[in-house]
Amino acid sequence: MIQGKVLFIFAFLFFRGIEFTFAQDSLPPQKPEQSIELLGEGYITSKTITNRFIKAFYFGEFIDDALKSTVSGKLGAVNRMGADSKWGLTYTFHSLEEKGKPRFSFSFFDRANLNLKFSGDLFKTVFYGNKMFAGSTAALGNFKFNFLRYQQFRFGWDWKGSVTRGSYGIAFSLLSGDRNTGINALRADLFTAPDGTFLDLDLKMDMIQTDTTRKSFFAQNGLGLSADCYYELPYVAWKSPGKITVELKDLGFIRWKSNSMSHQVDSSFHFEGVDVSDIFNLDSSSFTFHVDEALDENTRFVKKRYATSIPFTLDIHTKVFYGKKLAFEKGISWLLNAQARPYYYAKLHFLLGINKSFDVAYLVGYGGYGGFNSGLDVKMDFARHYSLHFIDNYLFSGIAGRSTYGMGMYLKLTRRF
Amino acid sequence: MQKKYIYLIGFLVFGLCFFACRKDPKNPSWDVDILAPLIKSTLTINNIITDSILHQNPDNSLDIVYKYALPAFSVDSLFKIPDTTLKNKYVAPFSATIAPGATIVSQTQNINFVSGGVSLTNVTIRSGYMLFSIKSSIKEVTHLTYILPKVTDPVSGSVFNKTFIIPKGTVSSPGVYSGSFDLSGYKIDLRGTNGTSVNTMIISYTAILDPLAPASVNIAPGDSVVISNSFKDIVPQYAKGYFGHPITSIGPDTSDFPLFKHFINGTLKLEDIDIGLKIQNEIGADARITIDNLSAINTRTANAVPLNGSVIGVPLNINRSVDNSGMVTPSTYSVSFTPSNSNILAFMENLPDKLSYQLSLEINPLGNVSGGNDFIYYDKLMKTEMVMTIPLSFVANDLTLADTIDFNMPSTIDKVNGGNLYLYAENGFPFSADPQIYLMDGNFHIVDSLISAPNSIMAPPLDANLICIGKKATKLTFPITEQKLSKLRATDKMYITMKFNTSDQPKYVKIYSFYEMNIKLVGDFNYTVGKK
Repeated sequence: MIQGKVLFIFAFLFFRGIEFTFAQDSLPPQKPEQSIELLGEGYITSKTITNRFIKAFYFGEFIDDALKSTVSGKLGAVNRMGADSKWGLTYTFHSLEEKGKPRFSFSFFDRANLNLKFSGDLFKTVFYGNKMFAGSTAALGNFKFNFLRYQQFRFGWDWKGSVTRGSYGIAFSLLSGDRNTGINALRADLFTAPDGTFLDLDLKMDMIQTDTTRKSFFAQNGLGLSADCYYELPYVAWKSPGKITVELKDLGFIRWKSNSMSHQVDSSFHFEGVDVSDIFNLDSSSFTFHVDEALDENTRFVKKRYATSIPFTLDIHTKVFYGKKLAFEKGISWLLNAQARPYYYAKLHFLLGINKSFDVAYLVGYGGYGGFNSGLDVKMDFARHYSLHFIDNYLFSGIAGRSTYGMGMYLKLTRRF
Repeated sequence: MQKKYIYLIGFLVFGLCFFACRKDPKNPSWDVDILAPLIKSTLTINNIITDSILHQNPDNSLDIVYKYALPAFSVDSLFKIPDTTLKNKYVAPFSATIAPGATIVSQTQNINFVSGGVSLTNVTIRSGYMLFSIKSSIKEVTHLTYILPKVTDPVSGSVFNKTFIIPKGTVSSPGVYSGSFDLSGYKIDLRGTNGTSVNTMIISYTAILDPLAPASVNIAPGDSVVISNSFKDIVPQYAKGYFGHPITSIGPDTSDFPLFKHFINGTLKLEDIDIGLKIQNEIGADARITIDNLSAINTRTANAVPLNGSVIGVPLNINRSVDNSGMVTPSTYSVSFTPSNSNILAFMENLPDKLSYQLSLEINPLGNVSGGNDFIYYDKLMKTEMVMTIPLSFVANDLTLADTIDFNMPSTIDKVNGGNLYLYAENGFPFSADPQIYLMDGNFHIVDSLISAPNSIMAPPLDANLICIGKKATKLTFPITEQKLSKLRATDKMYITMKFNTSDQPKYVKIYSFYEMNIKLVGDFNYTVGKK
C-alpha cells in the first residue's frame, strides 16, 4: 500500500515537472492562468425504478406496497439501473512562454459506478416474495450487476487549435482500485411448487468480488490505467459557425489483487427443507441443511487475480452558433462496458452577459439507463476569478405529478489565479 | 479585498460540502410473501423408540427388548473394614543413657481389622490410606521402622516396611512426623502370626536412636514416643474367608422405570410379553433370594399392579460362583413371566413409570460349607435383571405421549408477521397420530396451542394381514397469527403431545421395520426483509 502511494507521488512530481497544462473540460482561459477546480457530480437513473423508491431504499425507509407498485407497473422483461459518482479536484497550469505549448492538468477523483440489469421476475421475487410464483417459474436470470469504486490520478495535456486545425487533448490516469463486485447470472430459474413443498433453482452464475476485509477509502485492492482523448474540429454550416467534438473517456482497466474471490456456479438445486434427522429432538445439531445438487461439479470458488474493464464513454456532439446569443448543441453519448443504452441529447444555449459570461441551456435527452429527461445547464463567471458550472439533467422530468425517474447533479467551481 | 476573502472562504466551504455530504446507504426494509419448505424428515419407529432396544424379527416385525436392573447388593451389606486408629505410647519409666543406634522401643501387636459377622483370611485393598502421626520428646533424632509383615506391596511383592525419621524434641516441644501412604492394591493376610486366625492384622514397629548421632543421649523418666496410625476409607477389591450367615433385604423401595415415562394418557393393550427375570450370583457364597414384592406403579393414575407368579414370595436357592484366579464363573437363576403363568400383561399395560420392590437375601443358608473359602470381588456381586421382550403388536386407544422441551424463538422468526405453517404428512404406520404443541409460560401453565383442528394425521388402510397399504397423505395447518407470534416470543417451554389410535381396533396391529412417515413443514408467511 505504501509502495502504491509512493508511486503516485513520484508520478505526480514527474508530470508536474513538465510545465504545461490544461484540462479538457475546463473553461477556455481568458488569459494566462493557473486554476483549481472542485468538481462533484453524480446521478442515479432508471427507466423502471422511481426516484421515490430509490430514496426510500437509500435512506433505509420501509418500502410499502404502494411504493412497490410504482415500480412493478413499469417492469419489463429487461430493466436497467445505473449510478455514477465522481468528485475531486483539478489543478491546471498554462505556460505562456512558448506558443503552442499545451496546458497541463493534474486531477484527483474518487469514482464510483453501479450498473445493473435485471428481470421483472427478479424484482418481484425480491420485493414481493416467491409466493406469487407458486406453481410457476420465476426467471431471475439475465441479471448483471457491477459495482466499482476507485481513485483516479489523472494527467492531461490539451492543445488549443486553430480554425483549420482543431483542438485536441489526451490524458492518462493511474487508477487505485477500492472495491468491485460483479455478478453475471446468465440463467437463474426458480420454480416454486404449487404447495410450496419444494423449490428448484437452475443457476448459471459468475460472481467476482474483491477482498471484503479491505473496504476503506484508498484500500488499494487493485491497480489500473485509463486514457482519455478528444478532438474538436470547427466548421461552418449554412454560414453558422460550429464545432464537432469526438471524445473518449475512461478507456481502461483495473487489475485486482490475488485475494479477490471468484465464484462460478452452473448447477441445479432442489430444496425440500432442512433435513431433521430426529424430529423429536429439535436440537440444532440434528439439523442438516440439505440441498440436492444435480450438477454440483460445476460449482467452484477460487481466490485469484482478475481484471475489470471499467465503463468508458464515447461522446460525439456538435455545437452550432446562431448569432452571438444562441447556440444549439446535439449529440450522442454512450456509456460502454455497462448496461446502458446510447443516450441522445440536445441543448439550446442562451449566451448572456459581457463576453458571454452567462450561458444557460435547456437540455433534453433520452436513453442511457433511463427514458426521457429534461433539465438545465448553467455556466457563469462571477467575482472576476470564479466560474460555476451547474447541470441538472432531470430538473423538469417530473412535471405534471408523474413519478420521476432519475436524479443527479453536476457542479463545478473554478478559481482562476 | 474583503470581498475576495469572502469568495475564497465560500470556495473552500463549497469544497468541504463536496467531500462531506457523501453518506452510506442505510438498511431499508420491506415485506415479502414467502412460500417455501422449511423442514423435512422421515420418521421411522426408531424416531419413536430408541433403536438400541428394538429387535427386528425375520418377518420384519419388531420387538422391544428392554433390560432393567434392580438395585444390586453391595459389599457393605456383607461386611465392612471400618476406619481404625491405633495409638501406641512408649514412656520411659526411668532414666537411661541410649547409645547411637540402640533400640528405644520395639513392639509387635495384632489388631482386629474387620467388623461384622465374617471371618476373613485375605483381603486385597481397592482404595484407602494409612495415616501416621509420630511425636518424640527424645533429645536426639529417632528412627522408627514400621512393618506390616502380612501386608504385601502390589509392585515389588515385599512386605510393607517404612522407616521414618523423627526430629529430636522435648517434653514441651516434641519432634513430630506425619504422613500418609496409599494402600491401593496391597494384599493383606489376616491369618495372624500363627496363620490360623481371621480378621487379624499384624503390626510391628521399632524405634532406635539415630546411628549417626554424635553421642549417647540421656532419656529422662517421662520421655516418650507416641505412634498414632489410622486405616482410613479402606475399600476391599477382594476378600476371602467365611462370610457368615447374614440375612439382608433390599427395599421396600421404588425406582424409576423410564420405558413408559412419556405416556400420559390412553390405553395400550399388548398381544404378548415375556419378562425374563435373571438372578446372577458372582459371589463365592451360596445365596437364597426371595422376591417379596414387585409392583408396577403408574403415578399419573395412582394405580399399582403387583406382579403375581409362582416365584413371587418363594425363596430361590442360587449356588456360589467359581473363582479361577480372578476369572469368576457365575451361577445364574432364571425365571420367565408370561401371560400364561402370571399377570404380566396387566403389569405392563398399567404403563408404569415406577417399580416398587422388596427382596431378601440370605448368604450361606447351609452354613460354612466351603471351609472358609467364600470370596467376593468388589465389582462382581449379585445382579437381578429383568429382560422384557415386548412384541410391537398392540392396540392403542388414545394413547398419548408427551414431552416438555425448552424453546427459544430464533431471532429470524421475529421478522415473521403472520401466515400459516403447513404440515404435509405421508403416514405409513397403522395408526393415526394427533399432534399438538402447547405454549407454556414460565410457571409451566399452558397458554395456547399451535395446531388448529382437525389435527389428525390419518392412518392408511390395512390389508387382510393387517399390513399398511401404502401411505396416507394429510395436511395440517398451523395458523401463525400476530397474537400467536407474540405468545411464541414470550414462550420458553413447549409441551408437545401426540395421541395415537391404532387401526382396525380391537385387532392387534404389528409394527414393521419398513413402516415410515414422511413429514414436510412448509412456511406460507409474510416476512419483513431488513430491520423491523
